[in-house]
Amino acid sequence: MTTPETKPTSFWVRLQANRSWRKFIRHKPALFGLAIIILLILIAAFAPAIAPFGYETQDFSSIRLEPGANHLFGTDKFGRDVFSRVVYGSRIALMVASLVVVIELVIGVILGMLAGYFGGWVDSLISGFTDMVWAFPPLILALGFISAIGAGLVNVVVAIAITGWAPFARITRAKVLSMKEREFVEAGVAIGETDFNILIRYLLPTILAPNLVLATLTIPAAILMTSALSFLGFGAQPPSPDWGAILNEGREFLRDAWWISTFPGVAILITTLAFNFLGDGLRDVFDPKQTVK
Amino acid sequence: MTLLEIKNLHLQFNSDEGLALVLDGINLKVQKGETLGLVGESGCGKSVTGMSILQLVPTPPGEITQGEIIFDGENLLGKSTKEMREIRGRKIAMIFQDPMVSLNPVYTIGNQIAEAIDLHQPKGISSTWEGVVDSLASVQIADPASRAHNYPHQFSGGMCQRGMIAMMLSCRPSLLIADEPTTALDVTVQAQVLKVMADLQKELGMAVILITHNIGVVAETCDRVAVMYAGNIVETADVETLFENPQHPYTRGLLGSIPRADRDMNELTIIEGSVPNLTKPPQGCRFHPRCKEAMDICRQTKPTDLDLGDGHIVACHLYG
Repeated sequence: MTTPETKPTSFWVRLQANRSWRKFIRHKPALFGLAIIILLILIAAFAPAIAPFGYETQDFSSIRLEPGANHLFGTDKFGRDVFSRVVYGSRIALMVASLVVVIELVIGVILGMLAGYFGGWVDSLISGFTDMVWAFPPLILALGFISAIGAGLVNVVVAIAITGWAPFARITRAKVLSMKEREFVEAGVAIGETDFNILIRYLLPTILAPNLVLATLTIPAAILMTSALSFLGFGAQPPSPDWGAILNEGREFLRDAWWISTFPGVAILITTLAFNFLGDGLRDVFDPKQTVK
Repeated sequence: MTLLEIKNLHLQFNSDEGLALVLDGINLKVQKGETLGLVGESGCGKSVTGMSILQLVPTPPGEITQGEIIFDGENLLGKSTKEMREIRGRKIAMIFQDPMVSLNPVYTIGNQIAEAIDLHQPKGISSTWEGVVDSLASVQIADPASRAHNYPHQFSGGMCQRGMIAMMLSCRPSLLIADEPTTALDVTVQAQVLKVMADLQKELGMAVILITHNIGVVAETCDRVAVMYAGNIVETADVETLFENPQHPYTRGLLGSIPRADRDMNELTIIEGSVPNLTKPPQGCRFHPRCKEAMDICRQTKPTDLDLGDGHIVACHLYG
C-alpha cells in the first residue's frame, strides 16, 4: 500500500496552490485597490516626512495661493498648505475607519452568533433590535448620538459604530443558522463540547470570510460618514485636518479657491473607491459559485 | 446485565402540518458488550431513537412527552444540560452517517481527537498527543503520528470514518451509537470500518447500537436485532431467530424483499403501499393498512409486546 504524499510543504508552495489566492491575484480591480490602500497606509505612516509643512502651520503672507511648485495643492484662508493637510488627513481617515469597523465587527459578530445559535427569544430580541437600528437612517441616528454626547473624533467613532453594526449581526446570524445544522457541529455536541466551545471552535471560523468581505466594504462607508459628520461640523474640530473638515472650510471659497475643497474630495473618492474594489474582489474570491477566468 | 433500557418513549415533532408522533412508545434493552441492530426503512424513527438517547434531538420542534431512558441505572431524561455534557463522549458516543462532513474542516484530525480527550480526561499536552496517536493506530490508520497532522479533506471517506471512530472511542465509552456508519462508504471500505468497530468493541467491552437499513450488515455484525416500523419497534430477537423465524408480518415482508444467495428464490416479495404520514398515523396497529394478515382488532387497538420466549418479542395481534 502506498501512502499519499504527506510531507510538509513550505508556506509559499501552499499559498500558490491555494484556490482563493489564485483567484485573488487574477482579480485586477482588487489588486489595484489593494495597491492604493497600501500606498495610503504608507502615506499615513510617513506623513511627517512627506508633508512639506505642518498641518496647522499658518503663513499669512501666502493666503489662498493657487496650486504651484511651492504649494502643490495650494493654500487655504490661513495660508496653510492644503497638500500637507490632505496628507495628514489620511491618518484620521484610516484610523477612524479601522476603529469603526473593528467595533462594528465585534458587536455584530457577538450579537449575530448569540442570535443564530441560541434562537428562540434570544434571537427574537437581538434580531428585533438589529432591525430597529438598521431601519434608522444612519446619518440621522449618528447626528442624534453626537448631539447627545458632544462633537469630536472619538464621539464620531462611537456614533458611527453604534449605528452601523447591524449588517454584521445579520450576516453572522444567517451563517450561524445554516452552519449549526451541519453534522460536524452535531458531532461536536455528541462528544460533549460546551456551547462556548461550539461557538468558538466550530462556528467562528466559518463566519470569518463573509465578515471580512463586509468589513472591507464597510470601511469606505465609514470614511464617507466621518467626512460627512466633519463637514457638518460635528466631527474633527479645527485645526484638525480631517478631509471632511477641509472640504467644509473650502466651501465658502468654492468660486475663488476651488483647490481647497477639491483635493480632499478627490482623496475621499480615491480611498473609498480603492476599498470598494478590494471588497468586491474579496467577495468574488470567497464566492464558490463564481469562477474568475 | 442491562446497560441501557428505553421504556415507553414517546417523542413528537411540532411541524406546520401538525403533530408528528415520531416515536410511539419505544421499548428497548441493550446489554453490556452486545451489538444491537436497529433496522427499518427511512423515516421509521431509527435515527431519532439514537439521537434521543444523547438528547441531540433539537427541541423545539422535537419534544419527548413520555417515557424513560435508563443508562447505568440513571434516567437520562432527568439530567441537566451540564450532566448530559459529561455523559456525551465519555460514557455514550455517537458516530454519524457521512464521515466527510462530520469532522470539523478547520482543524487537523489530531487536534480534534485531542480536544475530545481533553474534554473528558485532561492529562497534559504530551500524553494527550500520545493518546491521539494511539487511538489513530487502533483504527488502523497507517503512519498515525504524521497522519494526525492532516486535515479531514486530506483523508479518504473510510479514513475519515475511522478517524471519527478514533475520536469517539478515545474516551472509552461504554455505549456507542453508530448511525448508519457505513452507508456513505463503498462495500470494501464498509467491511474494513465494520471490522475496526468490532475489534475495538471487543477490546473495550462496549455495547453498540448499530442503526442501519442494510440487513446484510446486521446479519454480519449484530447479536440482537430490533425492527422498527413507523415509530414502533415491531419485533426484537437475536440475530439467528430473527432471520430464521421472523414472526411479525412486516419483518417477514422486509426479509422477503432482500435477495439471498443461500435460498432459491424466484421472486422477491414486496410490501404494498407506503409508510404512513406520521401526522395522521393509522388507528390501532400502524402497519395494518399494508398488512396482508390484518384483522379487525388491528384496526382498533394497538398491539402490546408479547414475549415468545428467549427474548423474542413481537408486537402483533396474530400471536395474542
